[in-house]
Amino acid sequence: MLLECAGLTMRFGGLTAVDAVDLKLEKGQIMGLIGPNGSGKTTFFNMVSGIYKPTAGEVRLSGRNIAGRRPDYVASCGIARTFQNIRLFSGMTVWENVMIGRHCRMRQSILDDILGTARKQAEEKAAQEYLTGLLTLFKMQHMLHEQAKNLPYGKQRELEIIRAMASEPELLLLDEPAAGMNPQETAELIEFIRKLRDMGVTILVVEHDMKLVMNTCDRIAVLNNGRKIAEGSPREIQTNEAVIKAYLGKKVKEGA
Amino acid sequence: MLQEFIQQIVNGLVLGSTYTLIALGLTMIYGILGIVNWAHGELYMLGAFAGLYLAVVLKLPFIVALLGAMIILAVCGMLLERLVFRPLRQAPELNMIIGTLGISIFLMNTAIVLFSPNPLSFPTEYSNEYLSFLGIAITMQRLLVFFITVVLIALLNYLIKYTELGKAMRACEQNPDAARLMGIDINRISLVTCAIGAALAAAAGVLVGPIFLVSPQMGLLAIAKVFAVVILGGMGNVEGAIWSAFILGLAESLTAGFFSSDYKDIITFFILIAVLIFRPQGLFGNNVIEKV
Amino acid sequence: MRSEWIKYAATGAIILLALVFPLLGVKSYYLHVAILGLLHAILALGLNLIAGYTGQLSLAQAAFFGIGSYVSALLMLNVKMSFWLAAPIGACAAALVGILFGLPTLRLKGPYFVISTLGFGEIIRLVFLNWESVTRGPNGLTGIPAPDDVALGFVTLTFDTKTGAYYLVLVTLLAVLALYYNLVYSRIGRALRAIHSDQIAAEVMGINLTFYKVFAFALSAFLSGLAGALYAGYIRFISPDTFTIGEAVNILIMMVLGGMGTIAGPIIGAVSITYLLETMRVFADYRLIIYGLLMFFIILYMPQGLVGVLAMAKDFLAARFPLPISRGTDEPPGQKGAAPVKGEI
Repeated sequence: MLLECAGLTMRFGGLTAVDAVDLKLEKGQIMGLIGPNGSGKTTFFNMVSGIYKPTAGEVRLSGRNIAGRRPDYVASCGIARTFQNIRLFSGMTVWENVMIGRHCRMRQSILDDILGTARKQAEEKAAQEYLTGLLTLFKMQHMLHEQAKNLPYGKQRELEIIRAMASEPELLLLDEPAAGMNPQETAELIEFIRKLRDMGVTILVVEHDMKLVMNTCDRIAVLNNGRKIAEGSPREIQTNEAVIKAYLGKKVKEGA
Repeated sequence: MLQEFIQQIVNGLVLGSTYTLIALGLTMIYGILGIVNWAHGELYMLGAFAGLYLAVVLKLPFIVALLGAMIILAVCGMLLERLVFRPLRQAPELNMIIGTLGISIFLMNTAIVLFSPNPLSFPTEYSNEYLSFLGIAITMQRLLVFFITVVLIALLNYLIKYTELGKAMRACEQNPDAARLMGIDINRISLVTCAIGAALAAAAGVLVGPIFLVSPQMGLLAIAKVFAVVILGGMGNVEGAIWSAFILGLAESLTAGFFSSDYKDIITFFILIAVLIFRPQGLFGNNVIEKV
Repeated sequence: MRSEWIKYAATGAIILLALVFPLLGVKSYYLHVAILGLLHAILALGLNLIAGYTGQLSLAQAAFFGIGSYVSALLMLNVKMSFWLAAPIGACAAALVGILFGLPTLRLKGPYFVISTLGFGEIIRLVFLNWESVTRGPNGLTGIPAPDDVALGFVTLTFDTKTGAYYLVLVTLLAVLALYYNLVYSRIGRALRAIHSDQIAAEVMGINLTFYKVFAFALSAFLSGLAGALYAGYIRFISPDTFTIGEAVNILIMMVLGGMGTIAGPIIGAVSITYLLETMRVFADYRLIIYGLLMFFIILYMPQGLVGVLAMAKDFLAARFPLPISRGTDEPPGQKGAAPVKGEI
């Protein structure tokens, strides 16, 4: 198991946002996490990525418990994420953004950096090689010097995913990657995620866009009111009674 | 000993009242506009000069001068909102701080050129009236500071809790975007907040100007302490600011009275740093979780 | 690229001018102003590291300046330590205090840090003023010796003249600059700018916020302390009057006017403002009024200060006088060292 969450719980004062959720994810899998607004998906993400300290429960990455550790530690263990409301380093270039994404994989010491030693040069060069390959794969190699804030919306979303990929994570968390996208951009994003799957990346994705979820995910877990009410293949979820009831019997919403 | 103690308690209440009035505006502006107003001490200083002018030069009764200075500074507060805060609102946090700090330097040095750097005394009709109590004499001015502060706090409390305007202000503080969607004019609320904040700072200036002295540098000296008050009370927390203002005022005057006045300024900052280490959300705040 | 050449040529010319400046027969007073300008450049570069790059404004820089001065001066006076040992110890003492103060205050997000630096600066000044048995209170420390002569075999360098002091400060500044440049265009520099841009995103990228913020702050304190030791060794007399909040504000204005978040900016700002400060004393009263307003308008309309203006001039020149050499835009990364990361000088 790559990721194992057991009894993960988050309470804010009297409100229980996530209530004893268990979740398992195998290497190479893409799992969708869906549920109505306020069902605790983003809170769940924030616990796994270290931004919130869980009230109770465990998060195991390849067997190691990382619950309650700081985000930078979690990142160096191999979990990368994107944000629902894009958080790029907006005044910096595309290149700088991905270089920062690679921060925790670069091994030079502070002294190497200040003195500009050969070790620093070698680390920078290795990073540049990897990142040039990554950016070329996702067709962004021609916009390296563009400021992140000047990119079109869809490209900003993609850049945020590439930045997360820069650290060669074991597990990639995508928080509503299709939010605010038009159908054309969403179609491109689906292609993008399939490419990631072909690379063998393990992904946990929160998404409202059912087209994206059904087309990319191997398994889907459904949260409602902070509890996991169902888990299974996309087909099983589409016919699951509890899920349909959670969405108030409405036809499953597209877009969001 | 007892007399000394009571004397220091009275001093502490006077200081606490001053800090309260300045801190209230500062914390409200932070809560609603999201701006740390480094020029807030200058509003207090300008208020003191306005009161001095109205009372000493125009020879108006003290209470009239107090109200006059509050009105003048309310207008200044609105100008500040319109000309300084609004353009800075979308700027990064660092730029906001440097921007308002620039305005603070500008205002203080303009005052130095206009009024000279030398402290002025501000005599009022209450300066020489004493109230005797347990063998100690307290000037009416000191009692007035405390009394008027209580009245102003009560008025502010009524305004925030029970009026439409107050509800709108609280809505803006909780969630500006939602407030805008509910049809609240954020710019108007910001203007009113700055007017109230500036008027309260002016009241502080006019009230304690006669006890201490009035000088262009008084704002700088006060603002450092008031920042400590605001952090101690929890940034943006009005009630917390009031309690911590009095706690710090008393701590400061008791230190001055029983240890050494050399240490009275240091004690405030030590309390501040201790709070940052052990309870960064303030003594009265809850743990706030940043939304991601 | 053409505009890069303009930049390198200008930098080279300025360094050359700085090196020959004392030989041009300038009046001793202007040499004094130049020394103060270079010292302030080190101070402004220090502030720039924590404020311009990391986004955490410090109003305690004058305090670290003072700690470096007092510690090195006291070591020289009381234990007869050589300047060459006392100066680095003074700088390290400032850095150590910076770490101790930064750990609790930089841990927090929000305006807490800058507010507590205001109080901290005041505490340090009060310590200088009131701890009379050590600091001699308001009278300050007098009779601080100049740095010892350095014998290099064929020549002996002396530092008790203005020329000697000038070269000492200049060489220190150039050495600082070389390391500063490395740091800014490295993983550390990127991490600091990421923190400035978005702390939460930076943290999620694996950047240890507290570590990098405290590191930048300690380094900025170190530079201020170093400037303080050099100042003590040059001016030979220090008192609490030098290390006030007013001085901290001066340093801030230099950084903002020159251009924060750039390397050239703080130096340009420090040298030009020190020059104006010393030579236009007639306007002393109006000086801060103007600086206050300037600070506001620069931050609003020209956040890169004079460097921003120079960059525009440079691009204008490059566009007016194109060279028929290869333009070399959009080089793939990896071709030329850290080429893709360079934004501005």
